[in-house]
Amino acid sequence: MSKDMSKDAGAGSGGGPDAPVDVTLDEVLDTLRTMLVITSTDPKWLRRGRQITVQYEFTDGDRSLPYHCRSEGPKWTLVPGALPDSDCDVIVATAPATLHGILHGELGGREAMVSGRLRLRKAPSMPMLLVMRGMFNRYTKAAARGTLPTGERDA
Amino acid sequence: MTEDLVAPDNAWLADYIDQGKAGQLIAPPFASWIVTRACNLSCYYCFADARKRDPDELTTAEAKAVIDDLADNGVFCITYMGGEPLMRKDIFDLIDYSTDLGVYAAILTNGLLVKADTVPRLAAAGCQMLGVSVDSNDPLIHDRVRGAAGSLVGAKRAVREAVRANMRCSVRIVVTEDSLPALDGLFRWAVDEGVEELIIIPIFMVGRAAGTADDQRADIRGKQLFFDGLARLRELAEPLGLSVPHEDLACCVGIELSPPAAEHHHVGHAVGFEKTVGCKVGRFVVNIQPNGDVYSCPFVHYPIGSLRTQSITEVWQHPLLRQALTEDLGCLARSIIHKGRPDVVDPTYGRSTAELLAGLGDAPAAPPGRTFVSLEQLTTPR
Repeated sequence: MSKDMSKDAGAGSGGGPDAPVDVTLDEVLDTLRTMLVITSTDPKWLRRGRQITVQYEFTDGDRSLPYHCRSEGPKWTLVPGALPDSDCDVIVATAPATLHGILHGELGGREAMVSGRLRLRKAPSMPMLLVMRGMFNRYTKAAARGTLPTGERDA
Repeated sequence: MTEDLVAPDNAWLADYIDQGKAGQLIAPPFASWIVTRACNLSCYYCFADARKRDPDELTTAEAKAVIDDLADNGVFCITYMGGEPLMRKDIFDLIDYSTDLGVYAAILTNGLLVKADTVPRLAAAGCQMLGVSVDSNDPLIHDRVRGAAGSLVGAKRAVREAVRANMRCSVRIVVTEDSLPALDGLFRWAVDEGVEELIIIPIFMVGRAAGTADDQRADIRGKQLFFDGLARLRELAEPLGLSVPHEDLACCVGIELSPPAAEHHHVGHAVGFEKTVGCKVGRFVVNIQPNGDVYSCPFVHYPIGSLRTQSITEVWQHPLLRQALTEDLGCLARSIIHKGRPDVVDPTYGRSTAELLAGLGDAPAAPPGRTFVSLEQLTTPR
């Protein structure tokens, strides 16, 4: 299932005309795991005592494949399946390629939203949106610096 | 009206903008921050009157505490400015800290300190926009306005470095008698360089520009120069499919240089606040001074609080901001320039240049007293 999603990543399906078309869901999930590792080990994150639950609904044609992640202090989880909306701070609906583009600095998050490629089905408060964007920023900066963590990425 | 700024699936964004317009947000979306008054140039119109570091400038730790507070309360964009922000050794650290907290960080520089590694360091810190101020393509004019030889070379190098690094780049022009004749050339240069946005700014008789007996007359002429500049830019831009907003208030205007069909058109600044013309005081912006004092905008030199001792949410409730939200005062900076206080209607608002100049007569107008009114005065009905 996860490998099949790449074919719908382009224009008209939330991927955008310039989005890469060879991104698999597994790749995006691996990137999200790395992002969660980076966040959960950042002293600023730990000091500020933040927590967030984000549900990703990956679009695949008419289908939606939900995953949800939770980050709280040094702990994190990323698992398939949907939570009740009320349990999520943010619900993001997008194609894997769009999320991949954002996490790799090829596409701005807000640009994806303004263009309709990324939809917040449940929008957070602005402070919580910044928490989520901070997680993305940490990942993109670590990637640019060549300091992405390697090895085990289990929660 | 807001709906056309965002994709229909993101109605929450339109709601958010509308909340901002109605003054219902707990904190402003945008903060411009004069992180230092130290500067290596001495532009004659500098609204910050930048020259050397203030003795009470926030320390790195204090600045980070301010960033914590801003991020915690949803201030999603910080524009670091000065003075010359690159004269603060910790500027990269502050930007890095901001972006770790999810804040969109931009920096405004005169470009003179932008070396080969500067833009890469800013990018590594997560900085997403670099703005450079330019007055003319003629180095003699630009350098004379700036008070330093070689400053145009630095400014243009900074623009080129930013564009080359794929960092969003804006060019900022204060419309003066020096820059107005240069607008044609600057517009074409910016388009050719791949600059994303031109920001057109009127000269305000505050900071270094202020203090003569003729400030009011100069302000009126400055407004007219600004309108003339916008009209000229409209003539240049519209044949290219670019739009120049109409702005009756004579406040900063952004002109997107990427065509509307381009992938990046009007997404550099995200969600559309910048497309809302008119005064953003009390709705979208505050300005932070080097010591943490807060102004309602960079040109309204009237403190409404201090982030050294207060949260932004508390400052955001200041009576002056509430008044600006509920009354159409015009430009608060011009209220101070012409009336000596910010909480009265800007007397230049909606009036023609000829009418205003005629009202002043031939003799230089006496400058108003600049004694700040107290909080009690602001909250007392006039």
